[in-house]
Amino acid sequence: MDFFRRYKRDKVGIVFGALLVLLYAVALTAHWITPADPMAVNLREVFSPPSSAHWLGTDQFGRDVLSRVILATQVTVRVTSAACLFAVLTGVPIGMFVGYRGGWVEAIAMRLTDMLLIFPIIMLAIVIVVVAGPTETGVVVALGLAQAPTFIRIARGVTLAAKEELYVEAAIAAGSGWPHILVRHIWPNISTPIIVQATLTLPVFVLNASALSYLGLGVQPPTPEWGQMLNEAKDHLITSPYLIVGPAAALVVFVLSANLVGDVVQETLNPKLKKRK
Amino acid sequence: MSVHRILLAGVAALAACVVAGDMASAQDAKPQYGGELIYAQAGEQFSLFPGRNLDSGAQDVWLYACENLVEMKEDGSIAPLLAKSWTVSPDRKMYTFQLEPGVKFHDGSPFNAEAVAFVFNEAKAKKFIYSSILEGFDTAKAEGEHSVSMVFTSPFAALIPNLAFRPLCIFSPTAYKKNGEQWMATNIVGTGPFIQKEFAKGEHIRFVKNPDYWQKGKPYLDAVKIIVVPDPAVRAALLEKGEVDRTVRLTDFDLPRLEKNKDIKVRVVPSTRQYYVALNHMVPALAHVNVRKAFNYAMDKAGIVRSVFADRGAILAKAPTLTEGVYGYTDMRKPGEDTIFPFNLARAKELMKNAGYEDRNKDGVVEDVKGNKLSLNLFTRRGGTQGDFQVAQLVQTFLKDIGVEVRIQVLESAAFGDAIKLGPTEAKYDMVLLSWGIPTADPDEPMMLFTLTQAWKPVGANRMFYSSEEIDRLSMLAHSEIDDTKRKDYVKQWMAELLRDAPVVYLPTLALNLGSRSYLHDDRILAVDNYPAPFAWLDKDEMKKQGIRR
Repeated sequence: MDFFRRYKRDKVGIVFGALLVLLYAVALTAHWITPADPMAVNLREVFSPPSSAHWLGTDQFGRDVLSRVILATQVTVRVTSAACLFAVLTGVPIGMFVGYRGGWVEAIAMRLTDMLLIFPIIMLAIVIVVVAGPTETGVVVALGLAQAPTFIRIARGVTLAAKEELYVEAAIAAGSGWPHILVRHIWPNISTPIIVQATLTLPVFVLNASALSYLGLGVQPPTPEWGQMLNEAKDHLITSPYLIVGPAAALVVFVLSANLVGDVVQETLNPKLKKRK
Repeated sequence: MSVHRILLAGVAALAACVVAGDMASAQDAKPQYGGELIYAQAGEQFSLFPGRNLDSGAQDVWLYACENLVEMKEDGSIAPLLAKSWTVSPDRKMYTFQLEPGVKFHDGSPFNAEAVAFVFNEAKAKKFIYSSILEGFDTAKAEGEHSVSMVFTSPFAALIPNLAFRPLCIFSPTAYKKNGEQWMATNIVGTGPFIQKEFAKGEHIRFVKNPDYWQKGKPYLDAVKIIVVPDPAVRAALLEKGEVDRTVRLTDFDLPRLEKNKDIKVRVVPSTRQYYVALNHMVPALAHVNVRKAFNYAMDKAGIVRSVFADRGAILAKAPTLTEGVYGYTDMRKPGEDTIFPFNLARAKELMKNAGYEDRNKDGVVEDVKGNKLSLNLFTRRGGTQGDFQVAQLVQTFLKDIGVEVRIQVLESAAFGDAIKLGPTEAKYDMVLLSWGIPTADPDEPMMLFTLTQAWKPVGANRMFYSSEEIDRLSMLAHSEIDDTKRKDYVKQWMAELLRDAPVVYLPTLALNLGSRSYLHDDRILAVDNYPAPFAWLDKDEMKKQGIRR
C-alpha cells in the first residue's frame, strides 16, 4: 500500500500508468470491442480512407485497420508478457543459483552469459526465431531467451550481496538447505530490483517483438502485429498514408507508457534515486 | 523449304501489339547522334556470362554488347540479326544458317561460322545453363566462312524462336578461350553496338559506342550507363528528377503519379509470366480433379489484380500458362468469362462436396469421408516475385471460404529453392506459390518442362507430379511438328486438356512496366522481360527544355 501511496504522487506515473492500463484493457477485451472482423477480407473495399464505417480506413485487402490494431494490441501484449515472464523464470533461478553457489559453476555460467551479451538482443532473437520457427511460441522463446542473460546477471549480483547478510548465515547455522534459503530468505530480499528490471525491459520486449514482425519473423499473417502492419503500410505510404497511423500510434503509446511507468516504479521502489526533473 | 517465313508470319499474327502509338511518333522524328543513356536497373547481376545466367536483368545488360543469330521484336515476331537467312533439311533435323559477312567481335577477331559453331558446341560440352532449350542438339559445324549448320537428333520445331533467347548470344570464342569463364562473368565481348568499358560490381556498368559496328549508321548514343538501384521508390524519384533516362519495375502504386508527369512516358505490357499455385498431386486430396477445380473457382482473380497489383501490375489470365504473344496462344475463355475458371464460390463449394469434402462437424473446416480435416501448407517466398506474399495471403483467404485450412510457410530464397527441387517422395509442400515465365515466347518450354510426366522433379520443373497420357502425347507431337497449323492445333488441345485437368491453380499474368523520359526515343519493352535500347536516341532540345544538363 505504501508503494501505491508513493506512486500516486507522480503525475507522469498516473497519466501513463492509466494509458498502460487502458492498453492492457483493450488487449484483454479485444475480441469483444473490435468494430469489425479483423480478418475479414473485402476486396471490393480496398484502401478506403478513414470514414465513419472504418475509423482508420481499410488496408490492401479491405480489412478494417482499427480492428486489426486492436487485435494486434492483444497479440503484442500476450507475446511480450509471456516473453518477459519466460526471461524472468529462466534468468532469475539460474542467476540466484550460480550467485549463491559460486565457484566454477558460477564462472562457467557467467562466461556463457557474457558470450550471449556480446550479441545485440535483436540479432540473438532473430537467430533463435529462425531456428524455432516464426510462430507465437517461437517469438516468445526467442525474445525471452535473448533477454534471459540480463536477468541472470542481475539476479546473480543481488544474490551475491544478499548471501553475505546475517539472516542468511543464521539460516545456514539453523541447518536450512540451499533451496530453502534461496526461496525463503534470499528471494524476498532481492525481488525489488528484479521487478524494476522487468518493468524497464517491457518496452524493449515490445520494440523487439515489433522489429521481428516487421522483418516477417513474428506472428504470421493473417494474425496482425504492429510491426507487420507497419511494414505493409510503408509500401503504400504515399498513396494511403493513413494506414501507418494506427499501428505507429499504438506502438509509440505503448512503449512510451511502459518506459515512463518503469521509471516511476523504479523511483517509487527506490526512494534513494534522484527525482526526475 | 524455308520455315522462317512461316514462323515469322505465324508469330507476328498472334503477337500482342505493344506500343504501336509510341513507335509511330518516335519514327516521325529524325534520330540524333550523341549523348549518354543512363538506365537504372533493379538488381545486380551475379554473372554476365550468358552461359551461366538466365536472369532477365543480366540479359538486359549484355544485349548492348552481345547479339544473337535472330532477335525478337516488340510484337513477338522473330527477325534475322547475325544470321541473314536459314534453311531446313528435308528430314528437319539440320538447320543451315547464312551469316552476316564482315562482322567483327569487340576484341578484333572475326565473327564467322567457326565462332558460332564453337559457342553452341561449347554450350553442349560444358552444359551451359540454357542447354535444356536446345533439346536434342547434336552438333554444330562450319560449312564455309559464313555458313553454319546445326544438327539435331530429332525434328525440333521451336529452334528459331529459342535462338532469340538472349543467353544464346554469340560471344567471342577468342576472348573466352584466352580468359576463361570466370573472366567472362564480368566482361562481355560480342559483336554488339556497344563495347563494355567499366564494371563496378553491384554499382554500375558502362558501355561506349562501337565505332566498327556492322549495321552502318548505328548506334546513335555515345554511351550507355546501367546503374543498380534496388529500391523502386528511389528509382521512381531518380526518373522524376531526370537523373536517369529510364527505369523498370516501378511499383504499381507509383504509376498513376508518374503518368501525370508529361515529361515521363510509362509503358505497361503483359508479360509472359503467369502466377500459379502448384498443387502436389501426391497429396490424396489434391489428386482429386474436382478439388483442384474447386480451388481454381474459389480464387477471386479480379480481387487479386485490384488489391495486390492496383489494377495495373497484373491482368486476368485468358489461357492456362500461355500468355498473349506466346506462339500458339489462343484465348481459351468460354463466352462471357472474364478469365479461365472465373470466380464462382457456389460452384467451388459444390465441387468440394462432389469430391466428398464437407464440413461435417461445423468447425468451419471441411473433412473427408473419414472425418480428416483438409488442412494444407502453402510454401511461398516474400518478395521473390512482385506481390508473392500478398497473393499467398489471399489464396489462404479464398481457400478458407471453401473450408480449406491453409498454413502459409514463408521461406527465404535459398531454402525455397531447395524445397521446390525435390522429387515426389521427398517434397514437403502441399502447395507452392510460383510463377511460370516463357522467355522464348514459345510453348515448347512449358510443354516439355512443366506438364510432362518425364519432367517430374528433380528432372524438369513438374512440381505438381502431374501425369496425363494425353498431355504427354500432345507435347511430344508439338515438339517435333514443323507444320504451323498442326503445331498450333496441338498447343490448343494441350491447353484445353489443362483446363479439363486443372493441374495447378491458375492465377493472373504479371505485367511489366518501363518508365522513360519523354526525350528518349526508340527504347523498347518486350513481353519476355527485356528492355532493349541499343538503338535509342536522345532529343537534345527536349532535354534542355526539361532542364536536364549532362
